[in-house]
Amino acid sequence: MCNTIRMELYKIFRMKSFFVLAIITIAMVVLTAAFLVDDIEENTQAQSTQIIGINGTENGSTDNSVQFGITESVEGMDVDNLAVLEIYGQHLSSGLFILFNVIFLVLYVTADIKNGYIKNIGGQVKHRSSLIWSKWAAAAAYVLVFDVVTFLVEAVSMRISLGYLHWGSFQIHLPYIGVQVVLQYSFLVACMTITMVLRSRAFGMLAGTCLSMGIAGLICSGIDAVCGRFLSIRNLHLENYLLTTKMSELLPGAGAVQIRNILLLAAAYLVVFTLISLVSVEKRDLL
Amino acid sequence: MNEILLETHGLTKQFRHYKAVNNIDMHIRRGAIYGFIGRNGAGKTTFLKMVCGLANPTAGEYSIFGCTGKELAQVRPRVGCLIEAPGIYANMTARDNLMIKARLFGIKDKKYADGILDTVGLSDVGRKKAGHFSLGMKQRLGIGLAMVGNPDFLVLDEPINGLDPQGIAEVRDMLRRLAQERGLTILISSHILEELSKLCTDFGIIHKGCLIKELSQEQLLQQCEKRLELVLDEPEKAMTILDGMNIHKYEAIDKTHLYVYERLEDSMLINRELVTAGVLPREMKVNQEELESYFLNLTSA
Repeated sequence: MCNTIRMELYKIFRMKSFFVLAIITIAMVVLTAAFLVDDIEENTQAQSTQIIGINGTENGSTDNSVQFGITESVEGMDVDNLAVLEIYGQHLSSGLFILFNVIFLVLYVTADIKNGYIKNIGGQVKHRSSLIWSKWAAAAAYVLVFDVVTFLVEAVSMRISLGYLHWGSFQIHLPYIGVQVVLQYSFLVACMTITMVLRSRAFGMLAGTCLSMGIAGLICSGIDAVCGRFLSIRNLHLENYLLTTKMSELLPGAGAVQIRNILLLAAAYLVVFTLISLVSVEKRDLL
Repeated sequence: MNEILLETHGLTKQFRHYKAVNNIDMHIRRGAIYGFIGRNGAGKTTFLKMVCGLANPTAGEYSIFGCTGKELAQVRPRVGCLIEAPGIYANMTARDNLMIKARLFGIKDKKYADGILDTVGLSDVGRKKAGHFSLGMKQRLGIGLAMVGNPDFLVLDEPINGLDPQGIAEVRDMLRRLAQERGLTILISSHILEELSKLCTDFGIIHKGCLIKELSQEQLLQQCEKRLELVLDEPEKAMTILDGMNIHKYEAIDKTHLYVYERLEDSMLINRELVTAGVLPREMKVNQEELESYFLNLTSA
């Protein structure tokens, strides 16, 4: 098992797409830091500012609405007192990082299926389940490296852009960032599972990007509406059980109960999707 | 030498109503180079995938190194395979590709990859990306990947596919050398009997999912040897007469056909002796079958 994990780690950090996406992500982080001051100043006239991408709301409402797209709010931020941990937490909850991670990990999990490498090793491992565990471990290592690197880039960029470096409250932001990372990882495991079950890079990428942009929230709202209208089931709120909803809902300084519930949901996702992956790799033929 | 390394019993793979592999009983001796021959779509790859543990059989079982069922997990690392196209990372070098797999076996020494590159004749590729390799080089790298971890049993699915005659000869020489120097057992599939006949010690011919013949190199060569073909009604009686003439290298094919492989120049004498003994040959001719036509006759029957 350890050797299989070493092999996956060796592979993941040698993929061309790893470096390409790392460069793009770092560029995005630098750019957001560079335009941060302008965005906050513009925000004095508007309630919220879009930093990246699109911001869509259902029925034009702002509260309790299903959001899709990548949105970061700079509302209430003070140009003279911007904290690295706060801005970094915003990036995590917005879905900015998750989008890049989904793109890379879909490429990663489909690479050995696409080029046939899986057939070189699939027969030589003692248990096929180790192919899944090793991928999960490699993905976890990747997420950690990615988050640490982007955090450091964020800090340096903010120092250069703002002229000062203020970390923010570790007590408030570290648990928040930790939970966001767990949610991020659970979400990525779900996307990797979907890709492996579908065995299609195109569909995996489509599903991953749509989910990371919050499309599942829209689908859940639709299901809620249908259930409400035809089955008389009201207040279903399926979107409350989505990882992306929890990512955007969670705020720094959240209570212990909320954090526990969110972590339980993340664990449930991990268990369910890992089981699906294991069954898929054990029972199906390796193509 | 006669120890059986791979043995299958009624191995079957069914996709819905279609049996891609149908009830195959195969036997591969340790140290043999086994040529698995069949036309495109005959079921070769599906069979090899099952043997390599990439696909689960619908029915039947197989043993490798005497292990079967769940015990197979213990010997899986001893089976190296190249199934269909060589699975390589195109944007990495040959050495990196080998080192990825070497990690699976806990090997970190880069000299290990150099050794394999040398064995498969790719020692001079340097930093060239595998995606820029010629087809022959990719096939060699695929074989190199199958050799990582020093397996005792190599399963190669059409490794000479798409190669030019020189490339085929090089791969053939390399496999022969590997079998001799390392004592490897090799299962190699192809649809070109002519090429495998120059390399393999044993052969299995598959057609429409069924293994229709298993034979050794000697038997194959005998099949294609120059022979006197006799069509007669009493082959048993004819055999007694041949023994009396001190001719022992013959074979009764069926109830009416008898092949004689020696003293072909004495065909007139054989004919006279048979007629004298009251055995009248209905047909008698000296014939030699090409490997290709032998294969075609088998698979079109």
